[in-house]
Amino acid sequence: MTKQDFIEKLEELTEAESGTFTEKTVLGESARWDSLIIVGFMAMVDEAMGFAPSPKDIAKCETVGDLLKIVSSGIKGEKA
Amino acid sequence: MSLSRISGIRIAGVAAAVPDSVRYPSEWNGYFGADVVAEIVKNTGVQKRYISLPKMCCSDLCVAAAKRLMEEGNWTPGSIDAVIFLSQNPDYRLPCTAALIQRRLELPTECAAFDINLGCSGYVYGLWLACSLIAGGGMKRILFLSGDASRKSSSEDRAVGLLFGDAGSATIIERSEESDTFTFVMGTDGRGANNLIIPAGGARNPSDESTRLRRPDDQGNLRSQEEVYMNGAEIFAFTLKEVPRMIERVLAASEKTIGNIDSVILHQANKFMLEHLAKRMKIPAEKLPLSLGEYGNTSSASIPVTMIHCLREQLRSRRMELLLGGFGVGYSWGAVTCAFGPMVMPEVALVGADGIDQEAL
Repeated sequence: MTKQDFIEKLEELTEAESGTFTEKTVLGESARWDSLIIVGFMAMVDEAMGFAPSPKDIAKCETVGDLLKIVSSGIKGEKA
Repeated sequence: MSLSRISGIRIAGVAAAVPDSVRYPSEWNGYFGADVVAEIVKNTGVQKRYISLPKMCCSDLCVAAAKRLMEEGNWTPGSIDAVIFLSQNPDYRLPCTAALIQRRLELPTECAAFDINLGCSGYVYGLWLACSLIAGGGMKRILFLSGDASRKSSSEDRAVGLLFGDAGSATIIERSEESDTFTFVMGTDGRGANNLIIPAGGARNPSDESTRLRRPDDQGNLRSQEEVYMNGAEIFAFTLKEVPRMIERVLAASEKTIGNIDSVILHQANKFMLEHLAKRMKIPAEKLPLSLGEYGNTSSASIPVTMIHCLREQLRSRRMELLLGGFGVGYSWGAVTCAFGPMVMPEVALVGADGIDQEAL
């Protein structure tokens, strides 16, 4: 999965308009971010990358870029 | 993960009972908002639940299920060597609820009776224990009761307020020459205890005025310390880690594959979670029966309720290769494979106020 694929999947999950997210998008502001979405995010990563990030790591994330960092091992061209 | 194989035993009958009072998620629209309720229902899959009347206990549901089962199977009280009551909702702090059930079902005073405190993994644990007691000793027939009544979850907490339903089950396990081998695997990880817990009201944090007071958490849910706290994301992480491993292990130990199994009956935790797990483990949807829509998450009764709700006609008439798996509070988990049926299996019974223990204090 590329960085762009990840961002697109995240937009789909949070029902945001396509093409509106960047790495600077703040979770809980323009990106809907609640307990149900977090569980959906874990399932999305698990399905696409074969691992689920831990809820504690997810809780520390403030932006889409922070989410990208905790799943970097599953993103093409990123260092784990 | 502990592993055991037990032969010479069969499940002779399974029954379940629920309160005759139904609650629908839309009743919470005014509180959480219709959009939030609709999203919760989409995730959990729970369309309706049966909720106990005031003073009704899990034991009342289990006794109703047991009476129905013993009547339909023609099992006399005198033929029961032991009764096991597995629940997290005992009638009293003491005595054990199984002793009260011995009186109510008029089981012989020679009968062994005891309680077990387990939740979502409990049905598999109870079968394992009953099978072990028969295989290892002189017992011939055991009545195993399991379930919960969910009065301990806050109706003002989105994480649990629309999830749990009440149900009690009864299962007869007996010695049999013509039986398959039960293969059990079990596991525990107490590091997850705080993620699904009622923190107060026990010996560690005794009940007082402050533990009974509902307070808002950081997501606006109102809950007292004597009500269930569930961290949904952590529970999901636990199931992703342990449930596929548990299923792989029990299949390997029984030398079976999903292809040999007619039906995989998992604890009915949450629809989204079960469907994700099924996808991960490549279990076809038709092999994963769901009863959540009708009954909600009924804790240690959810496996027998699903057997009855989804497979009753088949289990009454033929043998089926089943894999049963429970997982949750503890964390605790267990799975079993075996050929089940044909067996006695009445429909799910409804229990009204007349089902409450008439001799209760």
